[in-house]
Amino acid sequence: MVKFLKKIILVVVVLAGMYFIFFSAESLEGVFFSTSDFIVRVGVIFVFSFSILLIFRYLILMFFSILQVIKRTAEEGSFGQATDFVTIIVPCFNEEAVILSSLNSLVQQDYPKLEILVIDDGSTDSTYSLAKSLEFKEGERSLKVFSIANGGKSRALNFGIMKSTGSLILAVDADSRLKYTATSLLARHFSNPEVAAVAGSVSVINANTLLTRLQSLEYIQGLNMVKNGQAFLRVVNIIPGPIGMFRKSAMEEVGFYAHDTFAEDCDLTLSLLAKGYKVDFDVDAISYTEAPESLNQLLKQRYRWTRGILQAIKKNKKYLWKLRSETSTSLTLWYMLVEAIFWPFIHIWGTMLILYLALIGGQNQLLLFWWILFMVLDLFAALYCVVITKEKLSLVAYSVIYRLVFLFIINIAKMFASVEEWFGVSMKWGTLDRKGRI
Amino acid sequence: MGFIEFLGLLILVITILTMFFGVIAYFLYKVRERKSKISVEVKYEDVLKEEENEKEKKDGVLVFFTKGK
Repeated sequence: MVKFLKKIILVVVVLAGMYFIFFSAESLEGVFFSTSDFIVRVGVIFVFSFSILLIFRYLILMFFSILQVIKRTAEEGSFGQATDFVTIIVPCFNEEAVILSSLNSLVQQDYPKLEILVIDDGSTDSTYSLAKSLEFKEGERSLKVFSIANGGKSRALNFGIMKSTGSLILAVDADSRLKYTATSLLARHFSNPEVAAVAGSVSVINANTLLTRLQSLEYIQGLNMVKNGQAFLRVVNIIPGPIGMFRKSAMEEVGFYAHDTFAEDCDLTLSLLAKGYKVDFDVDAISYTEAPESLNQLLKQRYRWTRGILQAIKKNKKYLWKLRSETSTSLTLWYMLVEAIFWPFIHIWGTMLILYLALIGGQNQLLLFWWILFMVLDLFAALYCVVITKEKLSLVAYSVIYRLVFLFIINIAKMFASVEEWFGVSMKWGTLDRKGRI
Repeated sequence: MGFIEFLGLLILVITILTMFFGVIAYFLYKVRERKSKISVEVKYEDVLKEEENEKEKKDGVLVFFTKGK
């Protein structure tokens, strides 16, 4: 009964949103023709052109995502049983709150040929001893722990690769827990020799506060819808830290993880795409991760992501202008540039222009239209993603404040992070506080 | 005041508040980062070592003899 009521509410909200969008569009037209103020007219044109761009973006992503779902359904059952030896690498630094739960989920993987390597990157807490307590060797399955001097995540991952015996490398974060089928689901994609990497799906495990629920919505919408769309063309641009499988020989070809960016996973994926490899995505290979529970921690994470992505783009900028010879890499880089820089800037500056028009010219309709447009699009996208990922339907309701409040704050941080990266302000990796929710 | 005007006003207020909150939150984060950086980097042993080095620079280093009490 409650579920049925929820569905009814959602339908009503979507219909109301559609009504408002048409109503606002009409009133915008009225604003444009009734005013002679140049700035107000520029504002209306800006909102309209941006709306078209936004709708186009959503439609393209959703179109490819739906095609990918159809393709995956058609391919179901065509994958053979994977036989490659897999090495799971878990780099960790001060992860005592989560390490046991994380490693237990790896031990419980249903894949038979498995080696787990835990690389303790100079932790100062009990991470090493806790991980060591789980060491074992049984036939083709084993867990081994190494301790190295603190040198960063990329160095720890490379150390693990050097010690690995598997031909496939599964890189996971220590603050994540894998679904027991994840390894076998990812490994089956490598029967295609063109595939060099496969991203898994990331799900927020601690979606119990407003902030973490909004992040959960962001993950299923921003990450999974986008990745699913990209997967149709096999040009997934970022293999997420919590779950990503790589072909070791391809990694060797591009020189493994680089140490000169704060987004080593993004940099590696771009290098693989540039080599002509395909990068795929499996929505059913799930990793449950702990999302930051405080705004400070969230800003810390996003600051690092933004600057890391910008560093990776800067490093591979030569491909931006090679649209003909390196089409997929070039388009991927342009897409990342739009998402990482242009989009947050347009969001902030656009809102400021509309605020100015609302406060000075009393044109509240523009702001209302701006919000309604975002909300309806986010609502549709969230509904679609919830169906795809089988997440909780209640998450869709958070679309109402998702962009108005949550993404606005995130984009402000992204904008400042971009400016700092532009001016080369020094930064350090930093660690996020773990609550041990996984 | 009609419903649309009220909604417009509500969104206006929320947007202004969010913008200020977002900017303040970012700078608070930066301040906290700077503070934590200072507290992590300055250790008691490091300060002692630094002081010793400064003393050595001032008094010179004893190569063949150890300093008596």
